[in-house]
Amino acid sequence: MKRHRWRTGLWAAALIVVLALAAIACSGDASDEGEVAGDPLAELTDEAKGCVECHATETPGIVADWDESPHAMEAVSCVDCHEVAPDSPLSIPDIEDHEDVGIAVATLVAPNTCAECHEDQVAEFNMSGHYRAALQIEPKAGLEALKTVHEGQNHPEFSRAPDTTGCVQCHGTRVEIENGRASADTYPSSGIGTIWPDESVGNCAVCHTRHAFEKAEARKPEACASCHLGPDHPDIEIYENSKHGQIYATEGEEWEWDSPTDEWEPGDYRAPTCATCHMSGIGDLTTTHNISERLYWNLWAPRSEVRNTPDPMSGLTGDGPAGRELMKTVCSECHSDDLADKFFETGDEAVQLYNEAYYDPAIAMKTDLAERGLLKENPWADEFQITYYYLWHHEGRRARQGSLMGGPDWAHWHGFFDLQQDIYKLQDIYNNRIETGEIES
Amino acid sequence: MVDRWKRLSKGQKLLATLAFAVLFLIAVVALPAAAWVIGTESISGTSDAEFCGGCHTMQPFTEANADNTHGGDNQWGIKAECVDCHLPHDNALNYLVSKVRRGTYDIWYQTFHDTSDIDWKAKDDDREEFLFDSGCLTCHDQLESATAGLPPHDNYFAGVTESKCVTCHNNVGHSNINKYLLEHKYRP
Repeated sequence: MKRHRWRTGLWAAALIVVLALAAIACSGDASDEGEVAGDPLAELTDEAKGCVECHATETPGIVADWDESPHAMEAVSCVDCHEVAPDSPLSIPDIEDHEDVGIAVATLVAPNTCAECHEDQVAEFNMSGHYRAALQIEPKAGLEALKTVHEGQNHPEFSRAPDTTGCVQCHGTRVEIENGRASADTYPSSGIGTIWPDESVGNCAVCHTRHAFEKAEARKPEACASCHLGPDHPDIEIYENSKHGQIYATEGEEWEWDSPTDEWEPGDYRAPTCATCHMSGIGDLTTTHNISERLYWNLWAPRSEVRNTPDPMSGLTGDGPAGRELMKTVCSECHSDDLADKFFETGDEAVQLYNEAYYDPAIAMKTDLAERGLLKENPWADEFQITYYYLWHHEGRRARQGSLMGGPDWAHWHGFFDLQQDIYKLQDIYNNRIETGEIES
Repeated sequence: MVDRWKRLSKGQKLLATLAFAVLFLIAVVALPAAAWVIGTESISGTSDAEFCGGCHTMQPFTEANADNTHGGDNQWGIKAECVDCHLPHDNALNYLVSKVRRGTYDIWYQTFHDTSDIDWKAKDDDREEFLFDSGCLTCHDQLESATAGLPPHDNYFAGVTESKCVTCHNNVGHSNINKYLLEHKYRP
């Protein structure tokens, strides 16, 4: 009997120990393994709740975007990005029906705000060619004349329209603010090089559109295509023309687009997009928002030169040889070194052919005619200058970019075929003007 | 018992006392010391990539880990061990219980299941279940003050989100995992 009681006690003690261990284990797990993403609204500050509650009715598109985003999951809300110092030029005073809002808010959000969390990404962007998008066209008198005098026809009221509806929408512009509101000449715009009142530059929402700000979106070629298209830099058309684009078009919607940064790798996709080659952390590379970093040439200037400066304000920003090695590292994830070497060998030949057989003779003729006073004052009414412009700005870029991004139709029919027509036309006009000593009528 | 003790001779008593002292020392000092040595050895010896990578299934992950900042691919060569991230660090008992529980499960699964058809990429969505903030914060113990003012971290430390560290920082442990999984699939 005594022995029996002793045994019962031992079992009871053992049970208590086991239960205690289980309880500790469960409580530990609970504290560490909670469910992900509850209802974020419940946790927002009163100010943020105020925004969301009204704007879900007033602008449901904005709130619906945000509601599904990682920002919402982390309780990063309207005020975290839209609150500004009361003396900020972007602060909008006296917004109708916002009398009860106790903080200064701005509609426009500059990349400096994004950089509060995404510091590296903004710093990389600031070293890239994108940084220059608006700053580089500001001082160009010839371009200004094209936009307002010629395209705008010097119209007393409407001459800015070609610029504001066209150039500004991709390049961006210097935002003009009055009473916290941007002028119609400068807003709305999704210009990547937007220049802000504090002189900071950029617009993250160009590729990661508001208010979802998705990584997956910027990985797709469509994010680049809204600007990199058309007769003068048909990059999306070149991509579609390429084998990479073919594979993307046929099965891209089944690919994995949400992989972690630096971990978006072959296997998630069968072909690269723009972002894969120019930005992604494929293989041992690290993701970069400096889209100039992996480039060898400048392929858009009148004459292509090898990139050679860290200055983002230069068209030659980057380090050409180092950039080429980085790009080959991208290629090597799927291709042999032999393939990559030969691809670049032929692409480089195309670029040098353009430089030496088309651009150099064209600029020599143009310089000679200018010295002899045989160019029209209005370049846009002068067949020689118009053809010269097409040669480098349209056809020359198509040939060069088509060659180095695997778009054969653009390299050839929209590129070198048009280039030989251009150069023969220029030679014809040049010879005629030299022989007659006057500009044809 | 007392009567029997009284009947013993002096020599026998001395011998018995000595024997008791030796047994007492073994029980109180030597055994716990041995247990401690064996215990700590077995705990630490089953914590690193060398041990975890002993199973074929885990090799892609230990290699992808070695390719990652947390696995030693950094300028200082600092290396976190598997358990530094994959076990809770809130208290010692929970750590041990979780270690035994998860370790036993892994051995059982490895022994009695085919692990070759696990969709590891899909498991990435469940990462919060296999990684522990208490582990992260054991090393990153100054994170709250060091990143004060950063809205997502402020919200995290204020407890207004239910996110875990790896909800956002989802690339911290293993690099190029697709490649290593593929390599091991076709390695003889």
